[in-house]
Amino acid sequence: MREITYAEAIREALRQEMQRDPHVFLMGEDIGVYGGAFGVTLGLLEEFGPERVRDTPISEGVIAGAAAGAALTGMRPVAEIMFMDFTTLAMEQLVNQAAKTRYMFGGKAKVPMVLRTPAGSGTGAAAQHSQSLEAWFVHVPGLKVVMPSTPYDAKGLLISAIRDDNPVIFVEQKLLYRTKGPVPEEPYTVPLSVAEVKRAGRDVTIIATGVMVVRSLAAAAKLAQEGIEVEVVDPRTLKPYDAETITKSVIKTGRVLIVHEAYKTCGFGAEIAAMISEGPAFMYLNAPIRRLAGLDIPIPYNRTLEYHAVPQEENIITAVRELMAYK
Amino acid sequence: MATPVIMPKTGMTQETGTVIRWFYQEGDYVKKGEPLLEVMTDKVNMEIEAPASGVLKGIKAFPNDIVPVTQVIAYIVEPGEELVEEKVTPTPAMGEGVPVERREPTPVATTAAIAPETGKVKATPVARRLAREHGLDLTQITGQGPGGTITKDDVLKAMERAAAPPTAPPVREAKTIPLVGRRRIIAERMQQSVREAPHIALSIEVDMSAAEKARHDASYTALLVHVVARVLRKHPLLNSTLRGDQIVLLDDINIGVAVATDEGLIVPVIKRADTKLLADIDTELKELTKRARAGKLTLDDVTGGTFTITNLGMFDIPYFRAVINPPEAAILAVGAIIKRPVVIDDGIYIRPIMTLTVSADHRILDGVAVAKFLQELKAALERLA
Amino acid sequence: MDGAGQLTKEKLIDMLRKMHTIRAFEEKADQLFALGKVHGTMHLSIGMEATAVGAIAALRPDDYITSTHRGHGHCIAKGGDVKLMMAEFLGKETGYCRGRGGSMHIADVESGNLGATGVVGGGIPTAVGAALSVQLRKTGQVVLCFFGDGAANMGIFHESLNLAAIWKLPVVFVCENNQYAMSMPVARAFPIENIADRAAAYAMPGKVVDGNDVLAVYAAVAEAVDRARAGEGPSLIECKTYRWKGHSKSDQERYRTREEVAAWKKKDPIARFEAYLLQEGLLTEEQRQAIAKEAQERIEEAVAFAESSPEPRVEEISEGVYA
Repeated sequence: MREITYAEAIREALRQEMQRDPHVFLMGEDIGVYGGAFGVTLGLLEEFGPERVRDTPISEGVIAGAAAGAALTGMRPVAEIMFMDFTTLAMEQLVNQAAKTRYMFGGKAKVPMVLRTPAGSGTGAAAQHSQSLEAWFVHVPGLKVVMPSTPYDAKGLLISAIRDDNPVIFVEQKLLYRTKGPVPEEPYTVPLSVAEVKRAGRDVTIIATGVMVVRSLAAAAKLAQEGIEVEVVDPRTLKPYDAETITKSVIKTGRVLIVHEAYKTCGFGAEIAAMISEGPAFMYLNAPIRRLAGLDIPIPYNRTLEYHAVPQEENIITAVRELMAYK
Repeated sequence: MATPVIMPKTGMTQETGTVIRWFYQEGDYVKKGEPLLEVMTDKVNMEIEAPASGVLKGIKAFPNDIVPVTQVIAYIVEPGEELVEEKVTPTPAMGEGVPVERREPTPVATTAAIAPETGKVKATPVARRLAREHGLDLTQITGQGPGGTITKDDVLKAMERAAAPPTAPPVREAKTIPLVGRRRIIAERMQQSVREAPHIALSIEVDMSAAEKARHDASYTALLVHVVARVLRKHPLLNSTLRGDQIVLLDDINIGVAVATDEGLIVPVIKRADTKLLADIDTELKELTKRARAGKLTLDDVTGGTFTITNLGMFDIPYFRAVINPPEAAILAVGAIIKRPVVIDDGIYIRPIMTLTVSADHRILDGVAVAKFLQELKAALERLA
Repeated sequence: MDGAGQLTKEKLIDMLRKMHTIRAFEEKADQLFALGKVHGTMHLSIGMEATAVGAIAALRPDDYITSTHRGHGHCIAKGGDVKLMMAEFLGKETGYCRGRGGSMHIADVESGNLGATGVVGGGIPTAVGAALSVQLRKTGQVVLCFFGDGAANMGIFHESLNLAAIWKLPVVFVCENNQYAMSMPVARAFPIENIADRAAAYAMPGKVVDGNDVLAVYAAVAEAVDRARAGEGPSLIECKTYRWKGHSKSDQERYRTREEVAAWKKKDPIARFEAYLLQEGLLTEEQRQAIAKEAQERIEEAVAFAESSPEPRVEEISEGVYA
C-alpha cells in the first residue's frame, strides 16, 4: 500500500470529506494561504476556496463558539486551534456550550463539529506551545476526544469524527506529523471508541496514547529480544474509551503499564488505572499498575530538559522490566 | 511539632524489630529519656527511650508486631496538640520521564518506603484470587516477588506442592504458634544461611582423655572456646566473612556460643577469646548463659561474633551438623563424649571420644582447609596437659 | 410611537398578546416559586417584554434567535408553546428539554430558538456560527442574538462582533441593556454612554432605542434584519430597558432604590403599547381586557399541563449526552 505522512493523511481526510459533504468546512487561524501552522491544510484553500477554508482572526473563543453555532444549525465545521495550549481560550465555548447543548436541550439538538488541535512537546516550543491537555476534555461529558497515533488511524478517525454528530476534540501529535505509514487512497473510517491492539503479547499490557504508542512499540521490539512479550493497546479514542479491549488485554497479561505524554496527576492514565482497579481485570493483576507520564512541570525549553520531561523509549523498557519482576 | 518514635536500627544487618510491650498507653504523658517501650531485635530485647517529653499519640505498632527499622511507630506531641501525621506527598522529583537512575522509585522501593501494616500479607490481586479459589493460605506462602510480594508464580508453585502428596490424611492441629519474635528471626536467618551459603560439613573424632583432666572445673564448652580460639588464629579463613566479592579475614576472634532459651537459640559472644584464660572464659560463659536464660543479655553481649560453637553433647547427641550463623564463615557442632573402644598401637583401649563437626561456607573455604583446621584442633585437644 | 405603519392590525394585536403572555408567564413563575413548586432559580423579564416582542416581530418564522438566561420572553415571542415551557420550568419530561435544562436553558431548535445559555455572553458566538451556517447554506435566514449589558464587557462579545463584521454575517446583535449586570450598574461598568457605540469599532451600524417602546424596537431591528438579509452584514442595537424584578431569586436588590424601580414601572411597555393602540383605534377596551384574560388563562392551562405531566425517568438520566 502507498505510504503517506500523518499530516498528509489528515489533509486527505479533510479533502475527501469536503468533497463528499458540502456541509463540511474549515475554519481557523492561518489555515488558508499559510496552510496551517504545521502545513496540514496546505492546498485546500486552492481546491475549495475561501468560503469553505476560512482564515479567522486570532479569536479562539469565537472559532470554537461559531463552530458550535454552525454545527447546531446544520453544518459540519472542522475548526483548528493552532496549538492545544490555546484551547484554554476556547474552554467556555467547548465545555459550557458545545458539550452541554445536546443534553441541556433534552437531547433534541446536535453539535456535529470537530476541533483539530496539535499537541505535545519535542519541538523546543517550551511551556505554552507544547502541552497535552486532552485529559481536560476527557473529563467533560458531551465531548469526544480522539488521539490517533498512525497515519492510517489519523485519516480513518478524522473521517469518523467529521461524520459523528457530537463535538469531537481531535488531538494531533506534532511529532507524528512527518511519520509515514500505509494509508488507503479511498475514504474509509476507523470507528470511534474502539481501541486497537497494535502489538500482541502475553507478558505486559502497555496502554499508550499518541506518540507514546510509537515509543511503546519500539520498546516492545527491544524487549522481545529479551523474551518479554509486550502487548501494546492504543485506545485511539480517549472519550468515550474502549474499556473492553483494555480489560481483555490486562486479564491476559496481568501486568499494566500506562504511558502518556500529558501530566501524570489526573492524567488519562489515572482514569485507565482506576477503571482497571474497579473492573474485572483487577483480580488478574500480578503487579501494581504502573504509569509513565509527563512530569508535573511546564514543558522546559532546553533540549535535554524537554527530553526528560516526558516518557522516552528507555523509560518504557525499564518500567516493563520492573513489572516483570512480578512473576 | 510531633516527635516521631521510630523502630531503631541497632545492628548492621537488622531489618526489623518486634514490639514486646509499651510502658505507656496512648494519651499518657511521657518524659524524655524514660523507657517508652521494649522491643526485640534479632539480637536482644531492648528498651527504647522516649525521644521527647509530651503526650504519646498515634501508636501504630503493638506487641508482637514486626516493624521495619526506622519506621515511625508512634508520636509524642505537645500537651493539647492534635496529631497531624506527615503526609506521604508525591514529589515531582520522583516523577516520570527522568532517566533511569533518577526515575520514580521502583515498586520495590515504594513498598519499602511505605511499609504496609505489619502482619499483613503482601500479595498481588491475582495471587490472592488464585489462593482463595484453591483454598491456599497466603500466610503459608513465601513471596519471591519484589519486596517479598507473593506473586501469581508463587501461588502456582504452592499449588503444585499442595497437589504433590496425594490426599495425605488430614492432621489434627493442637495449636498454632505464630512465627514471631526471635523464632521468626531465627527462621529468617537460617533460611538466609542455607539459601546463600553452600554448606560443607566435615567431622573428626577426638580423644578427650587429656582434655578431661585439663579442664579442671571448667565446662567442656568453655574448654572448646578456649582451644578453638587459639587454633583459629592459625586458620584465619574460618574466622572470616564474605562481604560482596571480598573475603574479609577478621582480626578479632569472638566466639559465639549457642544457648538454648525458652524463646529459642541465642548466641552470646566471648570477645577476643584467644586472649583469655580458660578460667575467665568459663566464668564469663556461665554469666552469659545465666543472663541469656533470664532474657537480660545486652546488645553488646550478642554482637560481634566471628565463629560459633554449638554443643548438644549434654543431650547425648553423638554428632550433628549445624547451620552457619551468618555472616560468619563456619560453625562448630559439638557432640557427646562417649566411651568407645579404640585401637592404639595395636592395643584396644577404652577412651572418651567426642565427634566435632564443622559446617563451613564453601564459597570461602574448601574441604581441605576445614580438614586441616579439624586436624589441628584434634591435636590441640589431645595434647592438653 | 411610530413604526407601526408596516405592521397589520393583526400583527400588532398578536404582539400585544405575546407581551401579555410573557407578563403572565413571568408572574406565574414568580408565584410558583413562592409556593415552593420550583426547584431552581429563574431570571424574570417583567418590564422587558417590548424588547423581546419588538425584536422578534421583525423576523421571519424560519429565522434564528439565540437567547439568554433571562429568556422566557424570547421563547414566547418566537412562538414557543407555553405549555412546554411551563413543563420545562417545573422540570417535567414533557418540557422543551425533557426537564434537563430548566428555566435557563429553554430551547426549541426546530422552531429556530437556538436556546438560552446560562453563561453571560455564551450565546453570542453561537449566533455568529449560526449566521455563518446560514451564509454557507444560502438560505436567506437571519440570526437575532440577544444578550445583556453585562455580556458586552466580555472578550467573546468583541471576538464575535469582529468575526461577524469581517465575514458580513447575517446576524443582528440585540443588547438588552436593563441597566444592571446583576448588581453592577451600566454607569459604573462602561466608560461610554451607549453600548451601541461599540459597533463603530467593527464598522457596523450601532443604534440606541427605547427598549420599552415595542414599535421602536421593531423598527430598529427590522432595518437591521433587512440589511443582514441583503448580505450587508451585522448590526448592533442597544435597547435601553429595565427589569422590574431582581436579577434572580436570590437578589435582595440592595443596589437600587424603590424609587428607581417605581419610576421605571411608570414606563411599563405593555401599558404604553395599549395606550397607543387604543388611541389609534386599533384596540378596544373590551379587547384589551380579553387579551389580558386570555393570557392568564393560557398560563393557567400551561400550569395544569405541566403539573399533570410525568417526571423524567431516572433510568433515562444518561440519555442525550451524545447523539
